Amino acid sequence: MAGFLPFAGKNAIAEMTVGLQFSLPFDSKVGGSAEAVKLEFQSDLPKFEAVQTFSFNVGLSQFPSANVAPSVTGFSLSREKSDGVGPARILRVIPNIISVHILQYSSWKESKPLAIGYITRCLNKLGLLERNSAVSVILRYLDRFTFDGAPEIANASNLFRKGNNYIVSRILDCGSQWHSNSGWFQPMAGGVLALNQLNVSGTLVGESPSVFLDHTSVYNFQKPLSSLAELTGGSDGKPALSEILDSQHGANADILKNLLNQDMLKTIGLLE
Amino acid sequence: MRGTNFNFVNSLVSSAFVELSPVASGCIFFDKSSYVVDVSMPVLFDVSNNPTKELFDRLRDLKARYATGSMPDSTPPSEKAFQDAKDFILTLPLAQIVKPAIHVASDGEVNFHWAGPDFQIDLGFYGDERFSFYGAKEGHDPILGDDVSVKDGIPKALVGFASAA
Repeated sequence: MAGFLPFAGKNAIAEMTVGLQFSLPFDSKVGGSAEAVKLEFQSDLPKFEAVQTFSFNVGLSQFPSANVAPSVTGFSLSREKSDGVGPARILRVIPNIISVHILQYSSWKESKPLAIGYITRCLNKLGLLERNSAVSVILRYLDRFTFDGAPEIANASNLFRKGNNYIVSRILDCGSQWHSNSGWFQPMAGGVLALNQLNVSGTLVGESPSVFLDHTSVYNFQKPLSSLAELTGGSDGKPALSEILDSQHGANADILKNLLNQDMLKTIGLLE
Repeated sequence: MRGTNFNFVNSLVSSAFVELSPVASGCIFFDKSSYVVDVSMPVLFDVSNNPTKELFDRLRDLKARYATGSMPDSTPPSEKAFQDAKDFILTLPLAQIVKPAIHVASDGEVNFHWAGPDFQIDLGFYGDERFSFYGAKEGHDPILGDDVSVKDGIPKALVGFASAA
């Protein structure tokens, strides 16, 4: 019988990203600390790539401006899958975000401490927070579903619940190519209003109709943070990073439970 | 340059309500509190990687090819054996483990086989909503099972053997 499938067995999550955003772009001191971070992660994330920043200044001919030489202001560290078909996880430090990308998602129980651990170990080596405060926490989930059947019957109504709160009803029966994007604020940990962006699209990947569900939650601190202790432990009743991420994760699960039909929720383990 | 752009935008937006300030990859609106409204973070996964669909396509091919017995005295797999194999695929954590090779045997078994530098797993379906398996990995005791319900999915120990991390 034709229907949508999670892209990888019982897994629909193609990528989960936890990010910490800073108020300013990273400077060359970050590049200077890259070697220390590389050593710190050499067993977990052995592949290192420096990211260089070039600056092109376009000036009037009578006021020529010098172009700035490239400098290392960011880097990425990654671990390949054992079968060599791509990265399993990546730590990126660029351009003003430290992000952990998990491409072999197993569970929140395993992924959350892994991401927090990478970010805090990286911050310890960079000594960044003292000169560039953190302004927001980002949690992004990218879920992917593939249609097994003839493309002409790959309607979104095969995957989504009718009457859901997040996508317009018009796209449910209009074929395999459509998109529905929205954004809203909702209260999360500590009562802070966090921005949710939900971009849902149906498209053809090769000849296979696919649905991508891209949910980003952006939690802005009430006041920029400039200490690691404050970030990981919270302070003055403000939630710690772990608690913030839990609330963002819960918001993602709520969206999926409202959007997806019962069969798919059972397959991906969101419904007993 | 970015500052100039934001100054330009500020001139278009009533400053009594909203003021835009530059951040590297988005905007912050200052009213009573601040919100990042746009975040630039690339998606890094491989769009062409589609293991569930590839395994379903493989089963469809085998079902068409072996609709009748391929050799004298051989038995083609039943419709139910293929359905059990499909149901089983939807229990596999294919983001964590590599894809199995799928074959059919002359006794009507739909067989899943994983092989790596240090491990091997064999698993088979006959259409009775159950499967049997054998797994071996260097440095571990072999594990085997019989009459395991398809609904229970792949045993955790086998996932550990076949993990792609």
